[in-house]
Amino acid sequence: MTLRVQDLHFSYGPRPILEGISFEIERGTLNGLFGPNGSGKTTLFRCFLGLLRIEAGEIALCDHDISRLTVREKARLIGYVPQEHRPPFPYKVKEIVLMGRTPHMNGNFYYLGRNHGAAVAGALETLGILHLADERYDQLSGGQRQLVLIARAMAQQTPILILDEPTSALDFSNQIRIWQILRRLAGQGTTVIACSHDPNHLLWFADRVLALNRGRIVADGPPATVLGEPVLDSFYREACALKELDGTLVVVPRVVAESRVQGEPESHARGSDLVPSPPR
Amino acid sequence: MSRAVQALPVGIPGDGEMQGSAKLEFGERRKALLVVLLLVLVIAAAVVATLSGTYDLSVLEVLETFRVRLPWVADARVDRVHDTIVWQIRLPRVLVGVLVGFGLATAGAVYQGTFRNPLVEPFILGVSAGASFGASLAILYPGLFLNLQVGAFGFGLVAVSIVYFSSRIHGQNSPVNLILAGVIVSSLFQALVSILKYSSDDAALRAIVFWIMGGLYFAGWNDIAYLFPVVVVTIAIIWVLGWRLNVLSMGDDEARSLGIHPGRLRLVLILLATLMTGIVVASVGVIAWVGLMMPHAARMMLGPDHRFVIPGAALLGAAYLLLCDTLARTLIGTEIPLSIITSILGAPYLLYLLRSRGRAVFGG
Repeated sequence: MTLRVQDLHFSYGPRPILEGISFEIERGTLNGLFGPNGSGKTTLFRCFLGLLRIEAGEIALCDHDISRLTVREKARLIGYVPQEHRPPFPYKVKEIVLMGRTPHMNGNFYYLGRNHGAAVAGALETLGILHLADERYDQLSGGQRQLVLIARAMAQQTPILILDEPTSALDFSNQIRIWQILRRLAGQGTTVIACSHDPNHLLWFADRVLALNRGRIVADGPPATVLGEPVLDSFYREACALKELDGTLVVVPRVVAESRVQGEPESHARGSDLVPSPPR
Repeated sequence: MSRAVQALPVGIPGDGEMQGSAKLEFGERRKALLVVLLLVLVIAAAVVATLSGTYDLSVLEVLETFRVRLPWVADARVDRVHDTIVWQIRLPRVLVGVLVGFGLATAGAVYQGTFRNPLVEPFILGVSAGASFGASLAILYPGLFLNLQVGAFGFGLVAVSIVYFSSRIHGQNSPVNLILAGVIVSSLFQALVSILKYSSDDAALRAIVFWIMGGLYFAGWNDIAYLFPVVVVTIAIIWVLGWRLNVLSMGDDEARSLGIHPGRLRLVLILLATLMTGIVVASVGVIAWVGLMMPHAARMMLGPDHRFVIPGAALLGAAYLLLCDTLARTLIGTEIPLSIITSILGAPYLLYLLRSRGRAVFGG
C-alpha cells in the first residue's frame, strides 16, 4: 500500500473537520477526491503533507508512519502541486522546477549535480513546456504556471503525488491534457491523488473516487458507481443529472438536461423569459 | 491565458522517459564569474578609497607605509603622519565600510527572502530603530548590557519580533501590513530614543546624536574586532542556506512539501540578519536603504537565486558604501554624514522601484 489512512480525526478548535477517515490506496492508481466546498478535502491533503498535526488516527506513506518521518524524508515520498500563485521574486521556470529536486540534493550545502538538471529537463519535456524553461515564471499565464508546478512535483520524483485542483486555472483543452498526463504518470507507477470540483473529469479519468462530505467518506469506489445520482444529489441539492452519451457517462446540470428532454431549446426558453409582458 | 493555448502543443507528448535527452543550462558559471568581477570591483573601490582623502598622499607614499610594516624590512624609517593617516584613519575606515556594506546588504536580502517581500530592509522593518534604541540605552547606562553591541542586537530582535508577529495573519505576513508594522515600530523606537536624548546630559546627548546620524567618522580597529568575525561568519552561514532561502521564498506550505522546515529556517535567518544589523548599527549608527537597493541590484544582475544574490548583494553593498563614504569625506572641506549621502542617492532609486515593482508587491 502506498498510502494508508486509518481512523483519521482533525478539528480546528471545537469544530471537527475530519471524523474517522479510513482508506487505503494502491500503487500506480489515479484517485479522485470529490466533495463540495468545506467538505474537508484541503484539510485531508494538508494532513498528508504534514502541514497539519493530526489529532487521532494514523497516516502511512509507503508503510512509513508519517509522524515518524522528517520533513525531508516526507518530501521524498510525497509531492504536492498547489494551486498556481505568483512568488515575490522573478524566478525562471527552470529554477522553480529545480526546487523540486531539493529533497534529493545532498548534504547541508545543497550543491547541484548534473542529474538534477536532467530531471528538470525531463519533467519539462514530459509536459511539453521545455521551451518555457528560460521564461520568468511570474510572467506566465495561470495555466502555464500550473503546468510548471506540476513539472516541479514530477522533478521531485516521489512515489505519491497529490494535486489540489490541478485544472482549476486551465482552459478546456489544457484541463484534458493534465488529466491525460496524470493518467500516464499513474501508468508508470506513481500513485496520484487529485481533488477536483468537476465530476466529469473524475468520471472520465480516475480509477477510483473517494467522495467526502462533512468530514466523512460517504462513498468510495469506481467513478461510475460513486458519482451516481445519490451522491451528486446529496452534494449539490439535486442540481445534477447523470446521462450517458454514446457510452460515455456525463454529469450535466439538471436544468439543461430537463429543458432538452422537453424538446425546448434552452436559448429560446431563456429568450422568452426576457420578453416583457404587454401592459394590461 | 490565450498565450498558454498557443504555446502548448496539442495532445500529449510521446512516451518519453523522465530523464529526457534535453539539456538545461542554469548559467551558474556566468553568475559565478560576475560575482568574482564584483569582488574585483570592491577591491578596486577599497584601493581608491585608501588613496583619496583631504590630506594629499601619493600612491608611493601610501605604499611606503605598507612596505615599512613588512616584517623583513629592516630600514623601518616611517613617516609618522603618513603612517597614522593610512593605518589609523583610512584603512580601518575602508574596512569598516566594506563590512558595513556586507552586513546591511546581506541583512536586507535575507529579510526580503524570508518575509517574501522585495521592499523590506533593516531600516523599513524598524530593526535599525530598535537597535539604535538598544545602543543608546547602553551609552547612557553602561552597566545595563554587556556592551553596545549586545544592547543593539537585543532591541533589534525585539523590534523584528513585534513587526513579525503583529503583521502575521493566518500564517502569512501580508506585504502592506509588514511595512506598516515596520513604520509603527520604527516611530515607537525613535520616540524612545528621543526620550533618552531629552533626559541625558550634554556629553551623552552629543555622543548619541552623532552616532545615530550614521557615519564612519569614528571607525577604528576596535570596531573591526567586532564587525569582522560577526559579519564574515554570519554571511558564510547565510550563503550556505541560500538555496533553502529560495525554497522558503515560495511560501511555508510549499517549502515544507519540498523538504524544508520553514519555521526553523526562518528563525535562524532572521536571528542572523538581526545580529548583523545590530552589530552594524552599534558601530556606525543608522544607514538607510543600502539593504533595500543592493539586493535588488544584485537580482537585476544575477537573477533571484539566493545562492548568487547573497554574495552579489554583499559585494555591491561594500562597493556602494565605499563610494558613498569616499564622497562623504572628499566632496566638501568638512565631512558629510554617510547616511545623508546614501539617502540622497537612494531616494531616486527607491522612487523608481516603487513605480516599477510596487504594483507587483502590493498587488494594487
